[in-house]
Amino acid sequence: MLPVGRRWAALPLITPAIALQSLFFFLPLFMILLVSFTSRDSFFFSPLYTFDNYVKMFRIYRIDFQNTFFLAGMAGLIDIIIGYPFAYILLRKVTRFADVFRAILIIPLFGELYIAYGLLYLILPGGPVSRLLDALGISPLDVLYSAPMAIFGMSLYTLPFVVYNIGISLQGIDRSYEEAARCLGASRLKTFLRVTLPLSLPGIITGWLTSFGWNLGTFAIPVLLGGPILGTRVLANQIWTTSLVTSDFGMGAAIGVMVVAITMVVFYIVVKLSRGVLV
Amino acid sequence: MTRVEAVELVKRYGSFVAVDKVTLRAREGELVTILGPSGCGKSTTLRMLAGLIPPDWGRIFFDERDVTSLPPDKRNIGFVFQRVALFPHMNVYKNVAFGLEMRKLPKRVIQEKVKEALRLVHMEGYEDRMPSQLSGGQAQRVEIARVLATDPEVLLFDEPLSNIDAKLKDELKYEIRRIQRETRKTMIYVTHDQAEAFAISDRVYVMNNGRIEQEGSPLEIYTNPRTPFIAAFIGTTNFIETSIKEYDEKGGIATLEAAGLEIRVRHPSILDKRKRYFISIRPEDIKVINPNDQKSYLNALKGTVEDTIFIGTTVRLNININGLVLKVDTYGAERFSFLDSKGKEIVIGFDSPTILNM
Amino acid sequence: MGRSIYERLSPILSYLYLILVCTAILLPLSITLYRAIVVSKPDGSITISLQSYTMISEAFWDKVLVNISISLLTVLIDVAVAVPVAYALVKYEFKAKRLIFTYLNGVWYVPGISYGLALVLSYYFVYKFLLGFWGFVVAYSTGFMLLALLTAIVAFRNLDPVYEEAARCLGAGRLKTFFKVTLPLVGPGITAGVVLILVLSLNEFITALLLSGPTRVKTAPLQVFSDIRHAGIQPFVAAEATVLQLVSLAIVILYLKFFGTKYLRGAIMI
Repeated sequence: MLPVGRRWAALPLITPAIALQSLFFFLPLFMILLVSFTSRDSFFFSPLYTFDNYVKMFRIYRIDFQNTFFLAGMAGLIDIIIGYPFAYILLRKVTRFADVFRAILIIPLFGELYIAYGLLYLILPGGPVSRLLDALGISPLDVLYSAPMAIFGMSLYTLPFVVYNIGISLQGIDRSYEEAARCLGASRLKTFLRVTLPLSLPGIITGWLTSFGWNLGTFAIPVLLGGPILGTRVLANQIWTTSLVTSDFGMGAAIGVMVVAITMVVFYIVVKLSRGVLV
Repeated sequence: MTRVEAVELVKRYGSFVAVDKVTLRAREGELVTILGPSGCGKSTTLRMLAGLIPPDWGRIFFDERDVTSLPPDKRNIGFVFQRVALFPHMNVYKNVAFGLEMRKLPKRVIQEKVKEALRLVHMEGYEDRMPSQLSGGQAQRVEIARVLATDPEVLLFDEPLSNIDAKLKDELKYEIRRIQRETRKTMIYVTHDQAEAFAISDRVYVMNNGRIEQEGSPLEIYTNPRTPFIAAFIGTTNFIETSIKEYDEKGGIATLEAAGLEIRVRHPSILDKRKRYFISIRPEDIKVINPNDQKSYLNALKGTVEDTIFIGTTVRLNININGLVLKVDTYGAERFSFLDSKGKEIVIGFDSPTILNM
Repeated sequence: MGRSIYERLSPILSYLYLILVCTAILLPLSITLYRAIVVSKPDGSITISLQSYTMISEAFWDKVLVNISISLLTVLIDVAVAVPVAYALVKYEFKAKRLIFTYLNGVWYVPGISYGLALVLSYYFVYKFLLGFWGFVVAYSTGFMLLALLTAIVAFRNLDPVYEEAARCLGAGRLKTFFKVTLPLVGPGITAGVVLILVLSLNEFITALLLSGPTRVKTAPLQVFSDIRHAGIQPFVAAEATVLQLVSLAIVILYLKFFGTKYLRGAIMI
């Protein structure tokens, strides 16, 4: 490498990025933390810092925490079940069209809103599936406004991240371990269960955690697909309603901080376990 | 023409000393090779000469100028890399013109110089090709043209042929020699290939573990390796550990002992009677001789053929003498007669082995 | 000797599985598109028509334009800010590299809903001048910078240092080397980041939802959301929902056609 490595020469190159993140990410993060300790009455006048919001939060919004954790956790589980074979096949079994499959995996990144909307139409009365359901004697609304539909939408949303995490850990497995197992007399299935699967366990865990972390903040999918009861009682929806609809910024901020704290812990574990981190 | 001088160059990576007080010199128009195994510090030395790595210690001079702290773009050097370093986003013409454009020459001059440089390496007519459309050998020729076009003071070649297949390699190394002769530029050439180094160099520096072990003409180094490392690294040799039996201080011939055998050695310097010495004798310097002919050799020993190996131009015999196994090469039509000599008794003869410095 | 059943079936099942999962991934988009362009007549017959697209309101197209301007500015800022950092992280030796990378990463791991609220609060109390269009640009630039950084790091990592060394030896100074050799060679990699940021910022929803309150700026996905809530699954809403998805898809396909998946792998792809 060229002799450019003077210790301070890098400083002007990284300063703008550090400044951007400090001013518009860390400072706002500090703000939301600060506001989470204010109460509704004192918010705009003399801020009085208390733990009230946090105490109240777990009482009032316990059901929202439960719902969100349940939906996000289940979606992550389904992602693992669907995503593991997907990553395995993509890396090990196919060469032709592999890039097409990779490209399709970008589509969920377009956002949860479109996933929610597409699935919404799928089963609304008059939609293509509703006729089929009618024939089976099931009311479309029972399927539509229910947890399984929301979980399905969420799992579609985060599938790319899970495939990525599992793929990275599969790529990290030295093929000679598997070949050694085969030569030692293990069948294909035994080799997979005893060698490949345990070695890719970190990918499974980080995949699930990543999916879970992302889905904690989903809004459109539970609201549009989860139905009037489940859909409104998720954390993202509560943050939006408390702060921007009912103007209880303190409470909104407190829930927001909770969500950040949980995802921070989740992604801390992911980064610790993952081998895909770049620097 | 420029004289290159490096004085006591040192480069450390952490506690690892990659280059340890290397001093070397290339006279005006000389082709000097740094020869050594991979990881010996030869490339690091060359990169310090180019300014690609700053030395921790030591000075580098081009003629009288101290260039130690100059960056590569201020040294007016031509560096040819081990991997093809042609810019993949530029065609051959643009690549060769790059250095000239950096020197802000007028367009017409650039056109002429590119043409001239490509002619020198026999690559005229390839101007519009992209690097990806060239074979390994062609790419390396263009690389050399790109370097020559800028008319550098010093040419630095870092194993330019190591990624090229054997046949082409042979052709290209003489090509490099020819170009160096024609342009009469001072050149420092790094390689791990002894044949390559010997074929082209005026002088060779042999490097090992970050140090220069020996310096001299190819002939000197081959016939008179000064350390066990060089004797082993260059060609094939027989090592024998010996103690002194009889020794004449006035010079002349000493008798050494190994495995109960007496080996006579002409010694140039004073030997220490209590020390043990390693001697080296190359397989091609040992002959299978007629038992009646023993008197005409300084050393003649009787042994059994333990094994025969057909190599091609030679047939190598492993000969067991009192438990000491020596490699002996046989040549010519005669060599085939040894192919089924396993188990036979023969007599070998050789002149004085070299005493190695420890 | 015949091949075993496993060997014969394995490729077929593999492709079947991939196609099945990809169908599920494509389901929402294709269903939306179906709703937008397939018209069933009262007599039971079905025709394809683009009529629903003509029913999209003028206001929506205005928002698409706003959206595109925000996205383009975001891309500009992110590339300008992230490429030098990537260069420094890959090429320079300095302490706390990992710490700096983690610091710059943070935003990616905070859910959009919390980040949106945090921004809203800071715009109210600190950056009042950002209430409006620029509030979106700043928010998106900060939020998506990591994508430019990751792809640029991959690009610089994949760049063999020999090209830069050759340029230096041929007499090019540090700046000339960067602009004439380094930048052209990492171009496709940096474009990968550009594509990702374009696609994600064109479709960003949740942060936008929170920002739209105080800034009074509405982006296209927000219009789609409010139309869904008020007009449900009418064809013109479906048409709106497909517009930016198809634009994004076109950008992705165009990029992949030129550069393939090489520069995206390791950053967001396996």
